Amino acid sequence: MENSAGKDNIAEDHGEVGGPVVPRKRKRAATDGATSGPGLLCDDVLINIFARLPARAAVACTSLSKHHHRLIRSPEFAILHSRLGAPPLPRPHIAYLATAPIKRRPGQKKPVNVFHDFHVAGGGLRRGGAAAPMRSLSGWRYLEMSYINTCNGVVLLAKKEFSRPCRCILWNPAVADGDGVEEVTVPGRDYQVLGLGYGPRSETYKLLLCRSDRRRGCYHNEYSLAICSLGGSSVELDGKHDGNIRLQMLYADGTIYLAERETRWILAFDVDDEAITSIDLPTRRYVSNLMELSGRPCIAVEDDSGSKALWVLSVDHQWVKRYLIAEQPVEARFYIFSLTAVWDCGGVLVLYSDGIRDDVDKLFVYNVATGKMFKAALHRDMAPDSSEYAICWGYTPTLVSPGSMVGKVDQGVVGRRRRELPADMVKALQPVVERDRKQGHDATVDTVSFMDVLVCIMRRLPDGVQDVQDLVELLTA
Amino acid sequence: MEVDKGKGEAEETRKVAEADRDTVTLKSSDGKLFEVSKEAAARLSTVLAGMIAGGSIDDNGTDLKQIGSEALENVVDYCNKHANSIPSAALISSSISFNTAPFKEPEEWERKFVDRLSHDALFDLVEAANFLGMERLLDVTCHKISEMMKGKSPDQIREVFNIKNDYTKEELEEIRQELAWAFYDD
Repeated sequence: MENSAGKDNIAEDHGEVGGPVVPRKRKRAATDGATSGPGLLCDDVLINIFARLPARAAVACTSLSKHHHRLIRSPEFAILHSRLGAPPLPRPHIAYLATAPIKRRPGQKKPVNVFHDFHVAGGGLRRGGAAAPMRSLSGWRYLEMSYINTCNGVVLLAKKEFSRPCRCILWNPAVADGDGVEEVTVPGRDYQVLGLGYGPRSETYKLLLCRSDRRRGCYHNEYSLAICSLGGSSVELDGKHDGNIRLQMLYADGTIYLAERETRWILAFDVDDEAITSIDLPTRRYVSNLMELSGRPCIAVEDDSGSKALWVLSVDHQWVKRYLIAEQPVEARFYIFSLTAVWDCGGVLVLYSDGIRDDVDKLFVYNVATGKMFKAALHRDMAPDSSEYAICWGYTPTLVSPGSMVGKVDQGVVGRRRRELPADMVKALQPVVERDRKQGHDATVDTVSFMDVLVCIMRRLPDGVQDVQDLVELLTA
Repeated sequence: MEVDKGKGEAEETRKVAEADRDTVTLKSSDGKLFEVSKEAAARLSTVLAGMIAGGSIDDNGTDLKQIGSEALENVVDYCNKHANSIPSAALISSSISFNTAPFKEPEEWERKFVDRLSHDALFDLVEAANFLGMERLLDVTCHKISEMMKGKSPDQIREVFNIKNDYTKEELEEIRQELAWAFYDD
């Protein structure tokens, strides 16, 4: 029977647990065509097939058998899976991180803990009617850690300031807890982590770092950049840069993009070549936050004549004007500089503006064909504060394990745990952990339902603009 | 066809003719012979390209012991169809490309080509494509099989791939809990 033969092969290929990963070439015997045992494919082919599944389906396939579990958890699989670009999440969706500080006593000034909750609204990860979090992260070690960017399904959290030692967290919310989180400490001087990127040619993950050359009493900070190859060494880059390092980061196609709003340019860091290119923005007037459209960096700008447009940065670093936003009557005006998100719903744009003042209108629906825009005066309690969420532009679920990114060999053994506390201590701490988690869930509930509402709106577009308008009125009435 | 061109002639002429031949003959595990254009074989299969370049092509049929006649027929069929197809306009990228997906969707004829195959024939073809290093055919067949898996439960997939579930009930439960987001029905 093929099954037992397959099993023998597994034992033969792997030797014992912890052997150097991935069985290869489990060739079946020479066949005479259709009469051979059905469905016995070699591992190369199996990996190739499974790597084309969406991450969720691929993860579910780990339950097929122990052998398939090992195949899908192998670093080879992760590389192939991200290269074949397993189908991206269905649109519309919003991948985001909801964050809440956790305090143990009323009136406590400093939070003792923090709760990061990763969600994909509209990602089809629904259970019991509500979008279920794929994973949450909570603990003191994640305090002051903010969302920086995401690359190949791995979320980067780091302090938004210089620190020594400079720590950051690599987190893949789609991977089991024990393997999903890895803390990285960058050796050496005071650094700030700017972004995570992947070089497809060198097949390495790299952190882009920033070192301050600040002088006292100087308005503009000078800083220089450095790279840390995960599982490798750090390299300082030549050249100084000006700016306040209030940067926004986005990874796309082997490049980390850094937007510096005040100096009006974007830096593109090619992860393979370790080269920095400075790209001028299409205008030096008002510029929105760095967003994503069609998988590429996107910004909204207002030029000197006052006309507004969405520009997308192409792979060869040309700005392409995607949508012109027609002049609007006074009551539908919005401010470019507070624009934080845009979604293209088949020719109808949903724009979200994260105003500094709470009374600024937040949501705009714009019909490109008719040039008509309506704004939704969302109640101030409904829209989350900018400190409570971060949209993870370009997130695609993958099975990349953060451990394998930093060079740890992923053994992919069922039931293996890393850094595990003894069971009695886990049990003793359980009530506190549970309570913190509950507190976190409660605190992020507004953000979560807000994002779900946004996706509900987007699902009705492009056809149901009127429908959406009525709904928003109902919501805000 | 120029298969027989060299046969029965002087050795020297035969060698020249062999080099000039624009087809290669492949022999399946069950001894059937198939002919395929040398150009297509070299372009679509890294293994055949290597054999042609290395001179290890046998004029009387290169033995491919791992590939059955049905699968080899499909391979040859694919090579011929590929040679005749013109890349569709969709595959020629515009000057500014936003699409960076490394996998090109199967073309209409490729889709039809794999759709008509039986389950077993498809599985044999994917193995043959892998063995011969035919990247595009492997792409198309793997894509097809992965599409067949969509929406199927683990049990159904086990059936398709003839996989034996060697987990204990407890181990399975542990996996499902750890990766709860991936399972619909928990």
